[in-house]
Amino acid sequence: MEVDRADGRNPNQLRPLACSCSILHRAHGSASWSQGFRFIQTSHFYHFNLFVFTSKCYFCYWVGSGDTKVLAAVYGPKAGTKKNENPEKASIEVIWKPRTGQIGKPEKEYEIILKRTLQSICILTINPNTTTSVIIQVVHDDGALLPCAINAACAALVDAGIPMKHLAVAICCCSAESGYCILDPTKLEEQKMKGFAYLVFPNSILSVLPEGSSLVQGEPMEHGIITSVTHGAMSVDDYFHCLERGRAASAKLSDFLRRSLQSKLPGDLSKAE
Amino acid sequence: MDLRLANMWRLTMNEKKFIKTALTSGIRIDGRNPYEYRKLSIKFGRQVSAFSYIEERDTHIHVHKWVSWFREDGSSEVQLGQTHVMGFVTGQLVQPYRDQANEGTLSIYTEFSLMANPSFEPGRLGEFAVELGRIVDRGLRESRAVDTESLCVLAGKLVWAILIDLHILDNGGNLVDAANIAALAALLTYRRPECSLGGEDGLEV
Repeated sequence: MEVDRADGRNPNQLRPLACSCSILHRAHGSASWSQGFRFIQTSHFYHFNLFVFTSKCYFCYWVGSGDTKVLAAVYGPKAGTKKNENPEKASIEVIWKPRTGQIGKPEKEYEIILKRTLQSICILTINPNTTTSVIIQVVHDDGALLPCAINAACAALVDAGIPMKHLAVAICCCSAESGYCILDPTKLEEQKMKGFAYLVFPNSILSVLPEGSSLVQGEPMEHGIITSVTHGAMSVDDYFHCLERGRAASAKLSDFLRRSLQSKLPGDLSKAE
Repeated sequence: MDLRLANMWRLTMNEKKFIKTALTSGIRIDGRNPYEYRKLSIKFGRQVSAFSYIEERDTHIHVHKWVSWFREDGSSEVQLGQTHVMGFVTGQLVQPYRDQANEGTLSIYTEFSLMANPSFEPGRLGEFAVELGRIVDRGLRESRAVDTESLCVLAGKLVWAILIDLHILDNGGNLVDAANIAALAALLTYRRPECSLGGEDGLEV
């Protein structure tokens, strides 16, 4: 079923992505992740005659605000863990800073979700009794904020050199009344839809080993799911539908993440013969 | 306590001596003159409006033409060498203070996060953060950079409260200058929403 999205995308299309690493100097690792170019379209119609020709002019007026941008910084590992943490493992501390105002309950929730997600992808046994701090700063929010933050945090962790099992790619899917689902909604779309889900998948593996060796319990790594946060109401079928769409899109996201991180690698590594 | 000290980055005696001897001979450690500034770059708020129109003539040729311009929404990003500060301005309608019934309010919120300084403890406002906030606040308020009387909507009942959020992203020195520039730049690009009074006490924004 075709659906009209305000910015002209089709249901499976993600907004343009941009990722840059090492933007801060004090932090051990930093990255910024942005989705979208801040465009919403409205249109007017203007008809005028030009000499012999009759021309119709469609004015498409594109007005700002369609991008979500998040900055992530990583410090660590630092000595010591907090009181409630297990000192035999490394611990991760997440600080979420909203664009304006003080930290409130929604920010605390995001911190907890992000912490649990990052704990499952980092190798915690390598540096016991240390704390790695991840600080997230929201620059602009227009839908799919938590997935954007997870992607940025992942890129920042790679930039800082924290050991991880694999990367995580996050995506947001909304489902509407009639059962179709759309990917990467803007804030307006999120509010209009019946329910939406933030899904985090492990990234696809590019490996030189033969096919069978990277399977986990008989299934390839990409079929796993790390985190799922849902808001609103949706039926079980809708949810599974969203999962499939999200998983398909996560392959594209993995490619993008891999390409943008690879270009940051120092060139002489490949020339070391 | 020891953990915090262990995580702080401290200057050694050798480094301090080196910087002092260099300064006495007029050289700074990054090669600048004593009165030279680092490179300053200011980026203003980022809303983009672009205008596209399609011409369709009888010959069915579609031509896309683009014209774009920028609209600001009260945010700025300042980079002074390695120091990186972002400022955001938002406004809210509130009740005024009793003794200043026809003036709006201006408040600055600045918080040092771990992002800028690895030794900062989250949740506790450090002394320097408070001092920085006061410096920026006094600078804007006492120089009358913001006309607080024009922020009044309904004397005694409703005024605009302008809140400036300064986010310190990277601490590369000279935060006072960078924070002041960020606050001023964000204020310059901020446009107060229109509001009109309707009915007895109704408000439409």
